[in-house]
Amino acid sequence: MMDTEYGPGRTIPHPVMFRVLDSEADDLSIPEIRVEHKSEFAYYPGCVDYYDVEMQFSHMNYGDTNHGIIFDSSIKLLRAVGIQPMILDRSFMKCCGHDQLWQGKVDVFERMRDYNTRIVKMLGVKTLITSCAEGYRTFRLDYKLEGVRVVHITQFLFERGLRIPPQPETAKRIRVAFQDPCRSGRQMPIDPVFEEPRELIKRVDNADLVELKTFRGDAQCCGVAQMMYCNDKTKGLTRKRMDEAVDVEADYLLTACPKCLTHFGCLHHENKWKPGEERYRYKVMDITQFLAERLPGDWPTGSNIDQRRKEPPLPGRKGGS
Amino acid sequence: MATAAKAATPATPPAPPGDPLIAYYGRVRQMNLQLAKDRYKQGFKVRTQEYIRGRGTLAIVDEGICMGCTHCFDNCAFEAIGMVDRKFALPEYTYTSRKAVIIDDNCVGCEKCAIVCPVDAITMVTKYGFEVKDGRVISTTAPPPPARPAAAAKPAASPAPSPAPAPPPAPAPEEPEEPEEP
Repeated sequence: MMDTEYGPGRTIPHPVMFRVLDSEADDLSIPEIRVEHKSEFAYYPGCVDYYDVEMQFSHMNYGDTNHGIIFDSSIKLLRAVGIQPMILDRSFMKCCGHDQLWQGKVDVFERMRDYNTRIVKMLGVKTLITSCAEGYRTFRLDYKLEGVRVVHITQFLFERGLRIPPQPETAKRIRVAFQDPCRSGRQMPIDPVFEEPRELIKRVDNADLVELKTFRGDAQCCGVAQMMYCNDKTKGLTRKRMDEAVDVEADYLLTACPKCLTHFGCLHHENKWKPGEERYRYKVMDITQFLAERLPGDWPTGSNIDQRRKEPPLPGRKGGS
Repeated sequence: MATAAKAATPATPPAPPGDPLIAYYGRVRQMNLQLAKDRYKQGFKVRTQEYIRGRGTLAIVDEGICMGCTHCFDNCAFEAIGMVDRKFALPEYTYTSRKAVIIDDNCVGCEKCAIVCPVDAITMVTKYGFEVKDGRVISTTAPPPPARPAAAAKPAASPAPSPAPAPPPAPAPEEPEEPEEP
């Protein structure tokens, strides 16, 4: 056990992502803000691109998990309900500071909070839409954003009445399970996001919503809070949760939190390397991606995954790019 | 429906649609990703340098305990561990056994191998010029706080003597040159 700069802690180095986010917080200069499309509805994508880079860098999850598509899907869904949102992109915003706060780096969090609050106020945002459960909680509770309404994207789509067009006759019936993220569910004393995602899933006409063994306020965690660590115990929790989806014979396991997606995708990906004993035959994806795939129309861009890649790389250090 | 959407997904990036808003969202998206990549690269460099400079520790392997399980070899991020087959000679017979060796030049002292070792064969020692005080590894040779004033004082001190000797040689070559030119 060694003393780290944030007090005694584990000696396994933190992921590079935390270093990057901390160094972002240290830089307090305000860059030139260029917003091509101004609107009172702002969409904050969060750190999805950072997750993709982290996953590919650390060779943990060069599989099917695709965080970048959450951005695209959210844009597509918001346009489907008639909103042309302004993007609070990462060239002038910082991380919301959730991980830093929950790791005890309160000074780093306060710097991020003050900076982000100033930018949001400066741009005149009225409604801040986030597709991330942790971002929702942090902006809602831990920031002091008076006059700005913070909503999770499922809440917003529900209240705007998102319509999913009827699926083709050939489409199979699918069983869809939803994992309640801790941060937007049982850790939210006000406006927990329980009902809206389920209502949205029910609007897909060939989807049957099935509940996992634990759900809503009792929902079990995906295993890891933020990206703190990964060990046998967290893997065990993740596996327990994913086994619940096997028990209800789900075809899709949806979640509304990019980090749940990361951890589920990690185990899902690891499991695929053992041919013949594939345990999880369902797909793991974000709810925005699930809904957006069922809408017609254009996606702003593709995904973060290299489209030229046909087969997954070899496991181990030499695999991957 | 799902397959149709998936098939359309790869086709969209090369041919951006005519909608200017869609193009705007696409541009922001690509810029964000590039930003993440750039910052990430930078952060990795910083972290590596920090370890190389700041941690004065090094891993050592006790070969009597090491059983050659390659856990440390698999987990080292800096390729600082190699597996070798050692020959052992006993009076009755000789045998070979696989052991881990630390490549000192690559070891940054991150302690990960010591953590994963199932038989605790790896211990961390301080490098030459470092010692442990109050649970922290600190450098004995160059303490950081005095280093900066010393570095600041040297440039301040060196310019003072240098201008004095500099002028005399400067005019000296000029004087012979001037008569030569005309």
